[in-house]
Amino acid sequence: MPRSAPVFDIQSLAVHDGEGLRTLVFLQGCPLRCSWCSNPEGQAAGPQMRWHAAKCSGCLACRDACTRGAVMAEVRDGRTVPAIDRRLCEACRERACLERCPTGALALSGRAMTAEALFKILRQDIRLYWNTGGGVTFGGGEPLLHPDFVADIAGRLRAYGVGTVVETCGEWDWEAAAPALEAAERIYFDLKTLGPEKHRRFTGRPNETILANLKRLAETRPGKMIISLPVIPGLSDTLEHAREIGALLAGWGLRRARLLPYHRLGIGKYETLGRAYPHRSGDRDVPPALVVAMQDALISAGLTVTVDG
Amino acid sequence: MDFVPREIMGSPSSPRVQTCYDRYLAEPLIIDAEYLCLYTERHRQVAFWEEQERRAECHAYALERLTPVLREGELIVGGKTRYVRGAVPYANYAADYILRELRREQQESQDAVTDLGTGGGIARVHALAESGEFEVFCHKFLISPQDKACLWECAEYWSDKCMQAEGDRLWKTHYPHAGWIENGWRIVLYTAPHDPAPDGRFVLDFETILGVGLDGLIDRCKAKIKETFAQPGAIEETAKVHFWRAAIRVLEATKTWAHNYGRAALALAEREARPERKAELETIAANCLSFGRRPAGFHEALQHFWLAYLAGHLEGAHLGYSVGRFDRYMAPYFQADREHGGLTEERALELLELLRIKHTEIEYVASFSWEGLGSGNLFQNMMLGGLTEDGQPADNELSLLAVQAAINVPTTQPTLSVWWTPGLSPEFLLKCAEGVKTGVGFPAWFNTDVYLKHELGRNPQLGLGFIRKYAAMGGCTEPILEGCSYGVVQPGFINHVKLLELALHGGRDPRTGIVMEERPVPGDFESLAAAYRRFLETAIRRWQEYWNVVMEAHARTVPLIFCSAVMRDSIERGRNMDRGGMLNNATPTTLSSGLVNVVNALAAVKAVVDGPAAMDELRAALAADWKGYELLHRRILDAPKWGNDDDAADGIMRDLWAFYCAAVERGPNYLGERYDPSMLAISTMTPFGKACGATPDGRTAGEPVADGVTSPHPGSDRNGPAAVLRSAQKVDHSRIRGGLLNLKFHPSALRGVDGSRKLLQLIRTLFETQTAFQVQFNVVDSRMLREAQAHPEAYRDLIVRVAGFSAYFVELQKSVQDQVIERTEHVL
Ligand code: SF4
Ligand code: SF4
Repeated sequence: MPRSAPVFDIQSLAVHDGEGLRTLVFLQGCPLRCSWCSNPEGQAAGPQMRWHAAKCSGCLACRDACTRGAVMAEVRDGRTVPAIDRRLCEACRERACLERCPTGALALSGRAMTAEALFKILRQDIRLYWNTGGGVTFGGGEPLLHPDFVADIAGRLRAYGVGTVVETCGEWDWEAAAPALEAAERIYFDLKTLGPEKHRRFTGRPNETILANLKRLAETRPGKMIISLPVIPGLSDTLEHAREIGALLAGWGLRRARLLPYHRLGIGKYETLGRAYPHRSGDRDVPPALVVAMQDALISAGLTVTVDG
Repeated sequence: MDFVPREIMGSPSSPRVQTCYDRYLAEPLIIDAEYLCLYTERHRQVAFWEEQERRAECHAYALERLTPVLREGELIVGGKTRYVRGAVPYANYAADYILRELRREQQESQDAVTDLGTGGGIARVHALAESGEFEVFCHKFLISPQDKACLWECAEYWSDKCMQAEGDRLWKTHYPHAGWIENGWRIVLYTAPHDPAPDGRFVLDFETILGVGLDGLIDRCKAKIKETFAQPGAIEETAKVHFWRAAIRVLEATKTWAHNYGRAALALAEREARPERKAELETIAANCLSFGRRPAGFHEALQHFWLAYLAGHLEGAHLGYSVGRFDRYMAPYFQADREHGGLTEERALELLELLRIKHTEIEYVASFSWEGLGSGNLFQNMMLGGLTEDGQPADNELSLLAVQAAINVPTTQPTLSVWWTPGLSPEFLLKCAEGVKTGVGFPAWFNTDVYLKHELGRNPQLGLGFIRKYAAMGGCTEPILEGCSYGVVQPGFINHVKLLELALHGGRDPRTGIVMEERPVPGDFESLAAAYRRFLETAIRRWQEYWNVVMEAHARTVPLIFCSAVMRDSIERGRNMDRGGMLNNATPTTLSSGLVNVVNALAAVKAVVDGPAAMDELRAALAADWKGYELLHRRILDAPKWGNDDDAADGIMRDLWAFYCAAVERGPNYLGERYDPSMLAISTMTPFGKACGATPDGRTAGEPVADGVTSPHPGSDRNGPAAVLRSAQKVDHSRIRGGLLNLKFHPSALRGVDGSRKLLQLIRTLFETQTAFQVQFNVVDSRMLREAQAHPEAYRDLIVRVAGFSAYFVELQKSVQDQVIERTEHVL
């Protein structure tokens, strides 16, 4: 049985998220539901039907095609458009709607790929990784929900001297994730907030497991770790937050972090998924001066800090 | 949302440069008929002279009488016209379009599919025209009533004597396929006649011009005459004397013209009260008055270079007339002055910035549809880097400064290009990456090895060392050898998409109903592909044959005497460049654009059409512009497309590429060599697209065709930029003279020195494979571009590269602007 995982995007020639020129591979499924998430299509475990209003002609061929009655006509902004009932649609295997949509307004996000198939694509850019010191970065979703798959790809790349980076939210079972943690040359570990209740409110889950996993990684693999600190309005956009985090990380012997200021670039994706944008303080921006001050606070705690995004 | 600011924002390095730059930006475009009127005046008197001597005499007479204009703040002087942004109407090349414009008649049938920009200097033109002092000419120029009257008179005089009239008389009467050519224009299978601006795409021998001076060349001509007449022999030998006499006349007149600037500067100096400016004017005067002899300092050498460059530019209706390997031939003067003459880096930079403004001041006027194609760009190319004769990296301190000048003064001209080779110095490479990040797209990157292979294959007798040393660019992306190549002259572009339409419909153009050649209507992939190839071959052959006749008229009416005399080996051979004076005559090309659409269309037909009935359905869908055939349209759009590293499409590209090259190479050119294949787009994608209906690649009717040569059709690159690059590597670029690939990056993607390194590593990886020839980058933000579309006045200096050249974004026509914006954003 070949290893496979649901992939919802592959981006080549990426410069962020690691050294050199990289390929980003996004794996589907995430245990958290962060309100500011810019990849909401990667949250659910399975493929997601997306609908792009701007491309849709309103022909309703999708409604006629759907065997489950998941598509209804709806009048929005003065025009008739399809409305997908997500509960009915989620489990569909036929995707008859896709076949019949003439505009490409309907698109399925996420498809299962075997490790062979993915590696075949990645292999083509090995020369680029060699020349630039780049490699492959797994993001998502939560890639460590597919640890064997990640470890498999990382192993294949290793044979060419190419490294793999994993970006994770930290919410996973240690034993299950171990092969991927071992195989990755670098781990970007997301730390949102230290308060368990606040964490639950903004992400849907408390943070005990996350903190425990981070501590254990700090003890066993400190050299691989870079801590990603999203700066989110209402959650983590204060200087105190930066000081608190700085003290904790320094205490655990972690040396590197990056600040990721909030942006709204993913907002349009929610519409395609038929969902409302969940982040409440979304109209608030993070002032650049605050980001600089937070960076300074972390630096005074003894960390090396970059600002990305 | 805020714009991501462009990281490297240059600014002029001195208030003087700022003043000159501001003046340039504020000026309207004006037609200046002075040169033409003088030229015509003399032509009336010497019409019966030998063709070369007549040509030289008219040009020389005009040069000697042109008004020298010097402007406040300038340190390098000389202009093609009396205006800051002036254009010369060359009625001696083609009078017809001028007359039609003066009579306000419709131009070529192609005008219906052409549009021009509206912002910047063009907006000023329309505002000024309303004041009544000037009138609008050719949509974007002003012309004074005096000049208009004179131009009208001249154009009438030339209407039966210009190159176009002479050529037309020949081919329209005797060429058996004249009807094909004329219908080809009607259906926009070809771009409009190129007669109004056929010259250029070469580089003068500046090394010799500076090294021995015009005086040295004049002496050489005199010696050749003396030798020949010491023992008069065969007629061909004696006839060469006409060339040398013509050359002497024109070289002398060029000196007089240059010295007129010197005298004008002296006169100004005398009246000048400010001591610093007085001293400057005296230096300018000395620099101009010494023109003809070898210059000493860098400032003097730059002034000589500029005057010689300009003199060549004045002689002909040029496009793609270029600067060449500036950092090689200027280096001796620069280095000597740095070491012994007290030249500072700041001063050198200021001079280079001023020189950029001079280059940008040159405008040209041609028929409406050609201006639409070139977007007003003259394609003056400055080439940097590359290899020395013995294979060492050739960049130096001056190369770096030339890039810095372009960052500080981001004028559209001259375009900067780099011959990439792995050994270029890290400092130079980083400086070039910085240039790319200004968003002007400078420099464009060219793979040295690919060109060496091409030129060595065409001209083995020249030798590798020679080709390395003189490898340059004549125009946007057409490589030539500096100082010794005939121009990359061509009749215009062939529209691949139109050929596909002809193939699909058995030789009938669906838009006009004109039947080019009756053929069976294809019912499947194979017969469609075969029909396309057949039409392609015919279109190439006839286009070449037609042009061979036109160029015979060129040789008789407008041979380039000055340009020939200052290039190798005209003086030694006693022939001008139309008569075989150049060392390299393999440069006339056959050009085309839109091949990517044909590749996509054939790939889609192969994947989707399974028999004659399906083919008929496809034709019906095309005729309906996909309306009522939405599902078929979807399937076609989902079929394999070029630029995705998918062999189903890339394999077709490889085959057609080879077929095209072979078909072009079979045709003899008018200099006794074979035509050279090339592909380009400039702005043909819009008019070509407008003239074509829906096509089987999923294009809708009127939609622009793909730009570039190996760039994917906008939106059809689904597998990301790395796949685009891998596709591009699959065709052998050493087969063709030219080729380009556009990539667009968000500025945030290339931030800092790490971003620069990533850019350089990407280029290296792309060129390592030895087949990719060129790559250029747009580093801008699409939101910024939309904003610029809405508020052109606030974005006057925003430059964007479109298919091989840079233009002011606000002066591009709307449809090209849209394509720049839409081109898939590759965020590194
Ligand atoms: S089939 Fe496609 S275009 Fe038609 S209504 Fe459904 S989503 Fe829109
Ligand atoms: S995916 Fe299946 S259930 Fe969902 S809309 Fe399409 S056909 Fe209906």
